[in-house]
Amino acid sequence: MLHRSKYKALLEGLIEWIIRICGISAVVFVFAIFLFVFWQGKGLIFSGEFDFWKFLTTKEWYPASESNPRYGVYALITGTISVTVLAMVIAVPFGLGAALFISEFCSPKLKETLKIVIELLAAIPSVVWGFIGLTIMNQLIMELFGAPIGLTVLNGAIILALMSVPIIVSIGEDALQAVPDSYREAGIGLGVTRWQMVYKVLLPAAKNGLLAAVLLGVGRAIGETMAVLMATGHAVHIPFDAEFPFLHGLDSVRTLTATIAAELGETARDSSHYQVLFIIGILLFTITFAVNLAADLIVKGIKGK
Amino acid sequence: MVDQTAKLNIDGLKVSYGSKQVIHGITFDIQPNEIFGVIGPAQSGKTSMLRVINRTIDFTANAHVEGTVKMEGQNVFHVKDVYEYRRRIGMVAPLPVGLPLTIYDNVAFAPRSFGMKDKSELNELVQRCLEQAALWDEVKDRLDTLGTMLSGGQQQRLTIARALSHQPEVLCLDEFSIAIDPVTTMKIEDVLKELRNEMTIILVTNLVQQARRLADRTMFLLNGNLVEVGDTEKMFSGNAKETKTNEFVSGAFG
Amino acid sequence: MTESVNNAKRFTETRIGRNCQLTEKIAKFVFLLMTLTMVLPLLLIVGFLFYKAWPALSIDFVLELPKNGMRAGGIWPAFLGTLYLVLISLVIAAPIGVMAAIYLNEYAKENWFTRIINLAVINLAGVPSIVHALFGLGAFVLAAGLGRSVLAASLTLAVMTLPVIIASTKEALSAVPMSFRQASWNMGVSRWQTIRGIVMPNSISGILTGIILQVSRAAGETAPIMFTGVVFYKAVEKGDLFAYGLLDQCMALAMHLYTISTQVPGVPDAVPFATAVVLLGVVLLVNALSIGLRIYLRTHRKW
Repeated sequence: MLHRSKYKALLEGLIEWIIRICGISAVVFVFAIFLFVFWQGKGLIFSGEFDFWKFLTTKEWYPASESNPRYGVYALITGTISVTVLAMVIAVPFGLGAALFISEFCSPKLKETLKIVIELLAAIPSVVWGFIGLTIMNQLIMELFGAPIGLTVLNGAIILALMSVPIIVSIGEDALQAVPDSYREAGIGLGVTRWQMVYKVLLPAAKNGLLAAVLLGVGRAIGETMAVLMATGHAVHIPFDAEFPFLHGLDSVRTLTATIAAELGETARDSSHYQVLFIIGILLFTITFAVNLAADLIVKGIKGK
Repeated sequence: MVDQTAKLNIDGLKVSYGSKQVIHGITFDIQPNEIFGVIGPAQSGKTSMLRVINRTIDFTANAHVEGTVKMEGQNVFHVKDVYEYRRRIGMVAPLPVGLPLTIYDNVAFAPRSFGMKDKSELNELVQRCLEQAALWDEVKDRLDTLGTMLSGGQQQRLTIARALSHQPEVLCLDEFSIAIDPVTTMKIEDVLKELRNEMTIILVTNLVQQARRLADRTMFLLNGNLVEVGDTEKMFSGNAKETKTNEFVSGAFG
Repeated sequence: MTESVNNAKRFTETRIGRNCQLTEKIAKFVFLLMTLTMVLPLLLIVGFLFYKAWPALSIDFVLELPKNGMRAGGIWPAFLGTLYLVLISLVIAAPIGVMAAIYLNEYAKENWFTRIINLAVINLAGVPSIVHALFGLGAFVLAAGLGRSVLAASLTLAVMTLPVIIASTKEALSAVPMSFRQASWNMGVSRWQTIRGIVMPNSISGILTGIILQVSRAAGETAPIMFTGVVFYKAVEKGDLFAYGLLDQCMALAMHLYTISTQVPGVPDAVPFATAVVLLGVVLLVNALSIGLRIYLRTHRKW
């Protein structure tokens, strides 16, 4: 006579509990990351020496100074913004163009190959990209623009663009594929060319997903560390000003991420310098959290899930 | 007044999915070792009723069940181990499904999950179940073929074999013969008549003649309402209590 | 899709029609160009890397120890260190990731709590790598008292690469048709037994893909390991496979590339280029494996 052994049932119950715990692990880790980073930086926040507004808006970054430490990250924020914006200006048109091509205009065989290439592009480690920026791009920029050094906003932006493009292409392609074929057929039925169908029907229909793709690309660019550390130079400098072209791509800058990576090794544990770097970490965490949340809300908005 | 000798008591069963109610309160008994037929047009709640009996309705998130279902006096929604309970019910669904395992493993899967390890025991059980499902002769030389590679009719018979493999006390068949040719259907119907000695059988079918051939008693469900339940011969001979039953049986609608 | 074009030929060609066709061709060409603009630089860059690395590339390069302040010799300790980090982080991340995916796909109900979990997975994937480093420092090196060690660095990598395994596994699990599960539940087989006996064996390909992707990510990351256990230089024996203990510090390929290209003066070009090629080679090879696995399994479908 068959029957379920009590012992097995108990073991199974245990396994299912372990599964449930693992299920919430991601939530636990996200909280833990915020908590532990905050914990290491809290000393400075609550010490009374720290003015959050000044932190965000002044450009004097002298955290190691004995006599007059100043923690203004404004220049670092502009560093991050300049590289990210320029990178997106390059990556978004190319990325969306490639997504359109792969999704709508190319043959199945070519599609396979291109998707594989994009995947391999995405797999390249950031330190290798940084190395490429340091060596190849550096030379190229110096020669092409006659600049004194090639480690600049432009260098970082090109590298970041190449790094962000795979995300934009793959999620953008998903967004385009998610548009039901009936839309395409309706367009073809009216006798328009494929391009017109894309322009008038497909893009408006997929715009939420495409926007999400761009946002995720932005998130990737903001959070990148090694590549910008190695490619943008080490100047705490604001590359924007009032004269054309407003963004000086040949200036050297430093991003928020690079600052942490470059300076953490030299700080004494629990010193103010050490703690302010963790505070920058919290700032970065919050920014990328907001960007990812926005992207997710936009996507869920259309799927209605 | 509950019939204590019945295998299954269903009392005031109501089932709804979200705001849509599919069964509007039905009450009946199923006697042990009988073949109980259930007939009715599509969307009458026949499948939902079966899913209540074997409690797979639990997996539908928005399903709401009211009323009591008892097997041998025990409320089926209050059993200690629902998996053990489901082992006692065999279910043959209308769509043929071959699991992506070998044919042998398809049939041996459930017994193994319940602790049967002995090779010779398993061999014997697999052969017996496949024979009862009228599939043995066709597959005995290729028991290591993948179940998903069989034809639709063969997969349906495989489903029947699987349903028998865990020694159920109640066997539910939901339109088992749609994907099977008439000759094989006859073979299986003969097997069902014999299996009645070992278990209770609930036969949901759209084929009125099949119910007439096999069922001892039959229930007519119409749009989630129990129209009539009684002795098959009486119901099908045009002398049913309700006119609707006579109309359905004679093919006036459905 | 070319039907509309053929149909257009049955009617007389109008100037408008010709213009439309032209726009179509231009659009297609422009997009093709855009795609190529990304693909070609990649090929050129990889080619250039190889070219500059060639003088230093050899099997010995991988097995030898660095000499002369890392300006010559090989990269064995870094290569070994990366192996350790990848393996240990995999052993930690894989079980947790696979089980988390099983929870999400097989047990979780569609409610707000599940939505939060999914959100957390996406966010975990989007956290900047340097913030993972800060977390590892605060949690594993300091709070857990592991100090800067292989273990702390591996744990940090495990947390970082968890989303990769969760996403791949979930996709593989959801590709198994619901009808299989229902057929199994109908027989009284429990949910876990169904997962173990039917769902998992048929998603093994996706799970492996996720694992391979995790390996590739873990091998290439620098920031998370920089402050949690990987150092500039560690003395080991040539060819020694067991040189690092769990609480030791180690070298790693990614970190090594960063170090010799930015922190050490006077390194001959070939050495960092060769290091980059080895690292890139390892990562691309691993990814090629996962792509190959996917293609192989697509042709061996069981249903």
